[in-house]
Order: sequence, then structure tokens, then C-alpha cells
Amino acid sequence: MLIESFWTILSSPLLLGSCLIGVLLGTVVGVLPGLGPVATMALLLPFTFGLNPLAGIIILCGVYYGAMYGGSTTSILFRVPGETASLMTSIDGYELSLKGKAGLALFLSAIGSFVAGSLGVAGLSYLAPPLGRLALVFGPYEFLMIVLLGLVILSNLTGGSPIRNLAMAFLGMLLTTMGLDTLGGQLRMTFGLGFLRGGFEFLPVIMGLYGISELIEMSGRKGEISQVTHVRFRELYPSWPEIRPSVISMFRGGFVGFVVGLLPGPATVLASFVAYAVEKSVSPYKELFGKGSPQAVAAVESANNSAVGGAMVPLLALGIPFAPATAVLLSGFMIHGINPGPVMLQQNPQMFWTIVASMYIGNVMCVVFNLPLVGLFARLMFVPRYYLISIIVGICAVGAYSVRGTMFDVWVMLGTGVIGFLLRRVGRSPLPLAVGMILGPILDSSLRQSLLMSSGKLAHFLNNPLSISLTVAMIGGITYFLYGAVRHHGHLLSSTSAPDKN
Amino acid sequence: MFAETKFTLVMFFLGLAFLFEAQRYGFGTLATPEPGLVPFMMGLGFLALEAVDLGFPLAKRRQMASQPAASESLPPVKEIFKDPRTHFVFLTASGFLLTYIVGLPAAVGVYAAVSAWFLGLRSWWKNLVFGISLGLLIHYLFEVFLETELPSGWLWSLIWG
Repeated sequence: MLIESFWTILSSPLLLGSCLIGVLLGTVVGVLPGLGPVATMALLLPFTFGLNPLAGIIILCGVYYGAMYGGSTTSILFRVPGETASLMTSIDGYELSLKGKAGLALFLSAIGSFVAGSLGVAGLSYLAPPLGRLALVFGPYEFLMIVLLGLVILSNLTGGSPIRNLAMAFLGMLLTTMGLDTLGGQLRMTFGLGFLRGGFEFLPVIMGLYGISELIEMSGRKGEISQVTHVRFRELYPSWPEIRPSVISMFRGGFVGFVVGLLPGPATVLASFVAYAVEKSVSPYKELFGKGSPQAVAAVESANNSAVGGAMVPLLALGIPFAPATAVLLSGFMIHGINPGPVMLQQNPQMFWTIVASMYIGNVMCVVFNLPLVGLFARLMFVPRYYLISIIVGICAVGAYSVRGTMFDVWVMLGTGVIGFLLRRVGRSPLPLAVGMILGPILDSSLRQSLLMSSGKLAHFLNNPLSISLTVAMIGGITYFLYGAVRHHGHLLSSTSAPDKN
Repeated sequence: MFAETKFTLVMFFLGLAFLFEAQRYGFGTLATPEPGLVPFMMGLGFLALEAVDLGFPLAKRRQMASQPAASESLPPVKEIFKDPRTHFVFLTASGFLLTYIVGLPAAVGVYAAVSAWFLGLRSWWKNLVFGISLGLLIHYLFEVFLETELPSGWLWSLIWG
């Protein structure tokens, strides 16, 4: 079916063009600091309303993995990570540039991204269908356990205080209880305010938390990028002896990235940090790390690309997104009337395989465009911020309005932008809030359905190995959360030399 | 008081508000849960976590009483209002308010011209061209090409009925 899907895309100018547009937009977004893939995907959603559903989804997926490619360019050339997942690349990549090896860094980054991106998609195509078949026997109780497990793991892996992270996830879930109760059909949690009757839409909130908050920060920044590294085309093709030591790092980074991508949390960011740590511990060239290590660049860029494939597994197999980018993708699916998850895999496998095939093709497009056009993409860095910020705010306002046709969402976007800015200032991550908003309705409905089905006795569900395993895993997750929380806060209390900066 | 402690305190009171609001919708029983039950449980969880979080900085502050960190305190209100980021937020809010009068595409155009000036583009004709171009782009892209209905504002209704 995968071969058939390849043919479907290659023979359709619309799907092929969508893949190309998504990849190019993603690369541009990756290059531009301040506009991450999540905000762009949210921004692009209204543009996909009128498109063929598959084309719309392919564009959004292209933005997601294209951004991982683009982010490395500015990290390597200017030490400015285009998006957070490229932060680790900026350390060694830029050092390589200063040594006159920008070409090697860009080449390793592009090839590593391609190899690991393809590995990630291969992992997705092998893992999602069996997981989807397993999920068909899931009832509300099993989904409840998975959501709870996801929440506690997310709180520990996001970084900073696990207690604050979980609290923000709870806040996100509370926001989704406002408005119409989908099970009972009655209004709730409106505080008597008419404008809260429709509740909060996910997209304006995510645009605010990730896009507007970053623009607010940018609006106060002064100063331009001081040092520009020019790369000639022939420098992009280093010799085999230069590349050879990094080949194994690409595969290692790819594997680590895919596994980390499966976990709830900021998949691509976490994958790049873990891959860097793993590579540093096993590499025979440890002394080069931080001073311009090609292995570090290869591992990190491979990891953040394969993490995209990993993060897509829970979305496509279970219909549960554990990262903000996949949460926006879920919104994209819903807008087009598609419910990803086990039922889609069972009843509409063509859709799943076409998305997977588009990701393979998109990865090839990324590597084909990124190497020759690297200079052009790098120039995008110099778009003056007065144009960039004004255009993004303007389009964000239209995007937020288009979701439901109400100005309330535009104000929500601005309000959550300010909140997102404040969250960062006080050392809290907006990620759990965003994921909480997606998991909230699933938790609400699965908990109430479970209670109704078991007449209030959830222990009745513990009658098969699957539900018992998930319950044990959830208890393990809570223990892990408590351990993380005690460790984090115990460490802070014991160190009185510096205040808690998270 | 530490900025983070103040924020946690605000979150704590927000949790209390959610808790009081949730109890208005009824909990039912575990066998027949009503709409208020899950928000109440979530509110309780949120409140408990914020309470725990509030306890840590306070305990730590007691430990650090002899060495308060000025950098962790919130700046005075006057400083906040002098911050260009605060001005940017107010400017953006004004742009959104303008939507009710002149409609979204025109408001975005005016906003773009003014915010570009605020952010450093100090050439009146460039600002003008940029604002008009963005407004037209939004109009043609969304209203004409994508057929999205955007708010038109009362001024146009007043002029053209």
C-alpha cells in the first residue's frame, strides 16, 4: 500500500505541490527565528480550509519536518537557532563555521536530517499500524490511563519544575472545560460571562503562546547579527574522510531521536538534547564537543528529524497528540473531518499511507533544496524585524479570526501571547498548557464514560492484561513524577546560593 | 516578593475561582457524574499543585532571608510601562480595536504601518506603502481568493450603508 501511495502522490500535481509548499514553508520558518513550526502550522490552518483534506495535511506535515531542516542553517552560520530544536546545533555548528568548515556542518546536517528523517518515517510506518490495531481494543479506561500517563511523563520531561509543569497542564485542561459540555450538552464554567460560552479554541491559544509571545520578546530586542559566514557551493561537498567518522553518529542520533519522539513532551527539542548527551558519552572524539564537533552536529540534526516520525506515532495510531506540533496537526485533521487513530488506520488506511509516503518524498525534497539553496535561505535571516513582526501579527490576527469568525479569538490570541511571555519570565513552560488543552477533552470524556460504564467503580476495568499493564504503567508514571518533583525541589531547597531560576 | 511567587499566587487564586465555579454545575455521584465533577477534580488538582509550589519558594525565601536576590523581583510598575514590549502589546491591542471601526484588512494595514515605525522603520512613505500593501494583500488573499469573511467595521457600513 505504501508503493501505491507513493504513486498517488507522484501522479498528483496537487499533492506533490502541497508537499513542496509545506517543505519550503517549513524550511523558511526554520530559518526565521521567532516563528516556530507550531505557530506556522496554526497560522496555515485557515489557508488549508478550502484545500483537499489530504493536501492540507501534507502541507502541515511538510512544515513540521521542513522546519527541522531549516533551523540548522542559521544555527550553523550565525549561531542563531531558527527554532528550539536546533539550539544544540548552534554550539558545535557555529564553531565549525568559525574554523572554515561551515560546508561540512551544513552537509552533515542535511544528510543526517535526511537519513534520520527517513529512519523516523520508516519507524512510523512499521510501528503505527500494529499499535493502531492494538488500540482498537482500547476502551475509555485505557485511554484515560494513557492520557494520565502522558501528563505525568510530560511534566517530568519538559524541564524545570515538574509540579509547575503539571499545574500548567491542569490549567490547560481547565480551560477546555469552559463552554459547552460535549457529553451533557449544557453550558459550564462560563463564570456567567457570555463571551465564554463558546469556550477557548486551541489554535488562537497556541498562536498566542508560541507566536505572539515570541514577537513580544522580539519587539524589545535591539541589535543585529554581527558575523556573517559565506559558504561557497563547492564547500558543501566535503571529502569522504571528513564525513566517515560522523556516519555512525547519524544513525545513533536517528535511533535516539525516534525513541525520544515517542514520549510525551517537546519531542524534537528533547531528542536533540538527549542525542547530544548520548553522542558525547560514546564518541571517541569527546574533546571536540563544544569546540566544533562534526559528530555532535550529525547526531543532533539526525535526532530532531527522526523525532518528528516518533511524535507522529501516538497521533496517527492512537489519535492522541503528545506534542504541540502534533496537537495542531490533530486540529488540522479535525477541521477536514478526519479522526486520526485506530479507526482511521482500519477504515481509511490509504490516508495514513499517503501521509507516510508524503513524508518520505518530503525528506528527499528537503535535502535536494537545502543544499543548493542554503545561501538563499540564510539571507532570510536579514528580513528586518519591523517587516517580519508586523506581517506575522497581521496574518495571525486573520488566522485567529478565521477559526470561528469571532474577534474574541483574536483577543484570546493576544492575551495568551502576553501570558506566554510572562510564563517564560517566571520560568514556566507554555508546552504543558498547550498539551493540557488537547488532552483535557479526552480525559474529561474518558473519565466520565469509564465512571458511567463501571457504575463508579474503576477497579472493574482491571480484568484484562492490557488495562492492568496500563494501570501499572500509570502508577509507575506517578511515582516517576513524584521522584522528579522531590528531586527538583529538594535540590533547590538545599542550594541557598542562587535563587530558583528553573 | 519574587516574581515567580507572585505568579504562583495569582495561579492559586485562579484555581480557587475555578473550584467555586465548578461546584455550581453539580458533581452527581461517581456512578452518574455531572458536568461539574471533572472541572472540580481538575481545579482541585491545579490548586493543590499551586499550593505545593507556593510552599517551596516561601520556604526557600526564609532560608535565603539574608541574601535576597534583586534580579528575581518584579520591576516597579513605572518600569513595566516604560518597557518597549509593553508599548508593543498596547499598540497591537489598539490595532485590534481599530478592527471594529475600519474592518480587519484596513486595521492590519494601519497597524503594520504604525508598528513598523515603532519597531524602527522611520520613513513615512515606506511605512505607508508597507501598510497599504499588507492591507491589500490580506484583503485579496483572504476575502477575494480564499472567500473568508472578515469583519468589515462600522465605518464602511456607515459610508456605503
